[in-house]
Amino acid sequence: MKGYHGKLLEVDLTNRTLRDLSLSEAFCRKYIGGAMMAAALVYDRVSADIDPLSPENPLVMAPGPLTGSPAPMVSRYAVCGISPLTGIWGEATSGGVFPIRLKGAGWDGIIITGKADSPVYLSLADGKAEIRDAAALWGKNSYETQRLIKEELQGNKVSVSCIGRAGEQLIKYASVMNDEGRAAGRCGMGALMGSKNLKAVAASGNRRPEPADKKEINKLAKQAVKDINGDMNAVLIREYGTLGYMDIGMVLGDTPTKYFTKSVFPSNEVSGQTLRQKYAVNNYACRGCPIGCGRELKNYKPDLDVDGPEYETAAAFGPLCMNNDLDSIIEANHLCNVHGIDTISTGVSVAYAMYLFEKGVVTRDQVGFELNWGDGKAVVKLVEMIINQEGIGVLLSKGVRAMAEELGRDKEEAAHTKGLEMPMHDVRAFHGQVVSHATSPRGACHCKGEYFGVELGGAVEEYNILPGDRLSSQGKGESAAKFQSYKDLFNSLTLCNFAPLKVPQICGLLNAQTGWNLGPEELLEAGNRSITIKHALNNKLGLSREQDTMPKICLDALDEGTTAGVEPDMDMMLKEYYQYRKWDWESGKPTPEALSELGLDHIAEEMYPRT
Amino acid sequence: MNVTVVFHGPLSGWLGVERASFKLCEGALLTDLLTEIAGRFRQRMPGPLWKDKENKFNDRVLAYTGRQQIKRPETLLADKQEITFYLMVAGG
Ligand code: SF4
Repeated sequence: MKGYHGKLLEVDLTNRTLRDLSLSEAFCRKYIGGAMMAAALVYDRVSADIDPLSPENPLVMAPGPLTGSPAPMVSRYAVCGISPLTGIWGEATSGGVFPIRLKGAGWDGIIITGKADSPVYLSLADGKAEIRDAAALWGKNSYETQRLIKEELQGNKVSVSCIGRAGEQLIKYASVMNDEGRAAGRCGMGALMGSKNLKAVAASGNRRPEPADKKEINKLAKQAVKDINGDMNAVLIREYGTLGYMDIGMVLGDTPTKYFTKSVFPSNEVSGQTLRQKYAVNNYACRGCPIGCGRELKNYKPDLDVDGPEYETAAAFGPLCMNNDLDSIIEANHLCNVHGIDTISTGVSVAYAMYLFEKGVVTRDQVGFELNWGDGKAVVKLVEMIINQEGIGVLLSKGVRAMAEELGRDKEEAAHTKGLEMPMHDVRAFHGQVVSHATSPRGACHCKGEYFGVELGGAVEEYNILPGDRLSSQGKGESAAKFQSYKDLFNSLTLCNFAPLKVPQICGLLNAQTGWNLGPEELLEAGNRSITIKHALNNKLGLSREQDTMPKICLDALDEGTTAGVEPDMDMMLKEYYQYRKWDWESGKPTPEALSELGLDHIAEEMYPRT
Repeated sequence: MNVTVVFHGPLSGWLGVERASFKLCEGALLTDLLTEIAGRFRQRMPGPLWKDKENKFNDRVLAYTGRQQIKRPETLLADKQEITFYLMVAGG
């Protein structure tokens, strides 16, 4: 088989065993790699009553078929399992050098079950895997852990993915960190890792699968780089990082403000330009990426370089908390990276605490200090309390769904979908985004069909996905469904969401790597399969259509800004979405016909047992 | 006549100014203003931001006067008019 190693590494930490698991070409063609392959593996291995923190919950780390190939923007990997935060399908992705090293170690992915009786880390090097003692690393932060493992393995070509203290403490939205400050942030995959006493995975090696057509993939990769360099979005992100979107998002009403209750805020103090003006900024790029969206702030403090905040982070700790103190945002981001927690879930939980403080539900006595909107120092203090599991930080560390439940609040004011905190794109600014957030299998998500990208000129002509009136819900259900399928595939390939490649280019690269002849339709079908298998897994875990929704606080019309007075028609769009996917509106499950068309008959048999 | 141009967000970062004033002949069109903008700022622009052959910004740059988008290059401009250019690309 070309383009793949043809095997996974299966690790049982309870028994400390390691074995190779063969992958057939048919399996690879059907599930591609990365997150979809992980979903197929997880589906078969979990029962309906799985406890996410139990040893039985498998943790999968998987790069994609293009990782390690000459294609640009593919040094990415997915970290998946059942989420400790949401209790359903959990998926996070990250880029850097680690993914290419993981692939270079000689496997198409690793699947880890069980629980070690003491802290361990996994070392993968050039086809050899080893479980090593990590007792001395337990308690170390994510940056120290990476450094110490590299020293121990004496390899400057070693890359490490690890958890910080948050993952060890099983904080529900703990992240998995690699290459210093790159984060597989969402869904609490760090807590899943911590529950296994697994501190880190170290990878090295140069075992790249032979591409089917070397000449062709080199040619296509060269053209892809040229196209990326000519893309306006790429130019913006290279110059200002993803934070370059802050001013744009604010004008459009897309950047949520004051815990989703406002849309106007003077954001210029926390924009990408301000970051560039105020600090010595270096760009950081994942291996093989001509853009380099990452920011490193040199000498942020004497002898301290830190990673700069991305848009999502800056918006969550910034406008969402009415905070325009850029230093406090950088500080909060750094704390999250060092100790390994998701900046989006953290920021939304902090903003919710401020909202509750204003309403008198949470008091000064409970918090220990005044928690007023815009107080950057209070934001940082709360992040510390979350990490240290101190005072009200314990409640905030459970996420907004649990906060609302424990405080007896209306569930419509908890800004999440399926337990995952809302990212920093306000659906009132782009109605199609309602569909993406409400139906995303991992919960509210800006990476699975970021429909704002379509409305801002990102047409996908091959699938008739075209920009329209961003403030209209008409016809958005089907269009957003198709776009979601298409973009979900990026986490399987594993291609960066910012890659401005066209459908034929993606097909071409994949075909040159694997020797297949996938066309645009088959590609879209694979994306549809990816969404459907994850949705079916959620059904297996007890979810119905009721959870494909958004809370009122994120939908109610605002009285200011460019989105004043508009309210998306969620029901209409969702009905259209379900119809397109052939999912049953009553039960919320994919119909047997839909499953069969996607080659998921084994799921249909389990979901609809013959009596 | 005088026209004021506002470069929003990242555009002001690249061009080095947030506002600029342009003296144009009576009856000037949007395309005339664009020619002036290119003359003054082209050197500062990253390549893909400007289409030399078509004498206009990248399609992702939109021109507005108040809440009204100006789409046609032949649009007649007025004295003391304020025109804001926004870069509209997705990110984050
Ligand atoms: S755009 Fe950013 S996240 Fe994407 S591949 Fe490049 S550096 Fe990595």
